[in-house]
Amino acid sequence: MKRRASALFAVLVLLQVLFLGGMGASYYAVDAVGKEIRLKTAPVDPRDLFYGDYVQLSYEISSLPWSVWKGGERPEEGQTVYAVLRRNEAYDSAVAVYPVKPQAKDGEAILQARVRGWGESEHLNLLYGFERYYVEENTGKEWEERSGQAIVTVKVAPWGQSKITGLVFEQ
Amino acid sequence: MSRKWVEEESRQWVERGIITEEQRRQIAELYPYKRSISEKLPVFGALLVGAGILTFVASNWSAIPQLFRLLLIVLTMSGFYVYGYRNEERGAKALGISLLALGVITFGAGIFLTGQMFHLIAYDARAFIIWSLPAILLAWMYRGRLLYFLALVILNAGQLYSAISFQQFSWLLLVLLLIGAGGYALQNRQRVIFTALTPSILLHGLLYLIVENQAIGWLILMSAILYAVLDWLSDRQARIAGQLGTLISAFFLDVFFIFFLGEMNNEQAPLAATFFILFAGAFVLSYLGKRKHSEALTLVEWTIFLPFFYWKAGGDVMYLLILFVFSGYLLWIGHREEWSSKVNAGTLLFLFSTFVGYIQVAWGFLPKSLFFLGGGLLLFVLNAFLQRQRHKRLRDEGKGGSQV
Repeated sequence: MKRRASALFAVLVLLQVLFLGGMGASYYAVDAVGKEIRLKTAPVDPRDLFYGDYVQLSYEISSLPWSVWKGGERPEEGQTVYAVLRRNEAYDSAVAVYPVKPQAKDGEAILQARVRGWGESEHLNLLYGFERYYVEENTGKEWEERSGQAIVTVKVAPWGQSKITGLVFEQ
Repeated sequence: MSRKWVEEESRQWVERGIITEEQRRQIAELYPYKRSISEKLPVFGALLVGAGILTFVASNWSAIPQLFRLLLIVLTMSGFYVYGYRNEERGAKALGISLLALGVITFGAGIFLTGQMFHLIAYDARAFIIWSLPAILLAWMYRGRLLYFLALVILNAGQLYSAISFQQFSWLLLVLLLIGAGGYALQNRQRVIFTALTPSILLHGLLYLIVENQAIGWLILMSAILYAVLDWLSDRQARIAGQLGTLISAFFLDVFFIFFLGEMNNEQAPLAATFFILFAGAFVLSYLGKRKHSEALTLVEWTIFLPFFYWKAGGDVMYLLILFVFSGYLLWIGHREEWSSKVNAGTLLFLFSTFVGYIQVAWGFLPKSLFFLGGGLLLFVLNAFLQRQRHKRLRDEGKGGSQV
């Protein structure tokens, strides 16, 4: 009985270590094998930029015209959709959004997203999970002086995970 | 009563020849030594260190390379767990449980740190769900009240976060609360565990109603159903403690209605037919449970659940009246059962009710002045009644053959 309890405890701790380690490892793997995309952020108002130690980002691909939607009926709030991105000059932009995962063609990247917004929205609003960029504490002032549009580089792994690798403000 | 008090007092009893020295020893044995405050120190220590870890993470400790940060977190967490386990094994339960709780807190810090490292946001309560799992499992494994409270805090914080940030209700968090924390409470029927559980369940209920844009009045029904279900719990202490949680939640809900009923429109009341059928069902269930335990008198407690929010014109006055009735009842039953925490709660709630009444008076003086007067008179009557009870008890005790 006692043995079983201690084995159970060991498994419980191990699972937590594996969870944290696995989370870290998977994102390092995204770094290593992920495909890089460059995204343009929507114009950022520096005053709205900071609360806490992160930048709240909104991308051009966060709010899309309904013409890119390829799913017939409009999606519901919270539904998972897939955005197809294509490089266009210096950065990537969304060319289509599907309700099921499409096959990626050459030079395209596919991002999983979630539909945001209620009722009849003018735009197709999407959340990708990388709308937040953490900065070092007490560097808010420096960041605040830069404003306008930024280019964010994101790495997307073949299995769908994605992470921000850099943020550069356009001069 | 403390062991020390019994030991001191009983010396006189032996001197007067009421009991023998052997009986004195046996009586004293009935009262365990109160745990000294020093045994609580590890708990406070755990809380402080936990706060330190969290602020450490929040400050984004920029100097350390990312991989090392993660490694540090994993090592700290494992360290807390291993030392907690060892201390628990060798019988230092308080210290062991505190260290295990620190392990759980570090695990949570690790989840949020990894999120920060990779600039992630999860648009739901996922992180809290994962975080709560070790807290619940360890509480079950080691019967640690601290771990149970930690689990409650994580589950409640997760639901609040989900509701505020994403306007979503997490059913999984509710299931974890009911099965994980509720199951633990049923296994370890301590009063404070139950008193903390029921308001947590109702908090989840409230957040559900807010997120789904439903009438707040449903929360009264939820409290009533929870109360009725608890009537079927065989353990008296746990039953009363859990029900006290629902009653106090309902009390404050009534206060809410006193202030905001006038500003609500009809759409903000629950569907009457459904409400009353379920309400009547819960009442019958509660009555049958009470009859089984021959406690039918406590049906008075149902006054706090009465749905006066359907009556726009006079609902607030009725609720104010109910606040007085309920706190007066709590005072009375506390004296009857000589349960001092009930007397204290009753006194506090009575004063609070008077205060609420006073605020209401500031708005509409005349109709409520009568009511205010009633409250004051009630207090006098109650006082006179309690005094008489006390005198009676003292007299009975004076005769020698007293029953308590």
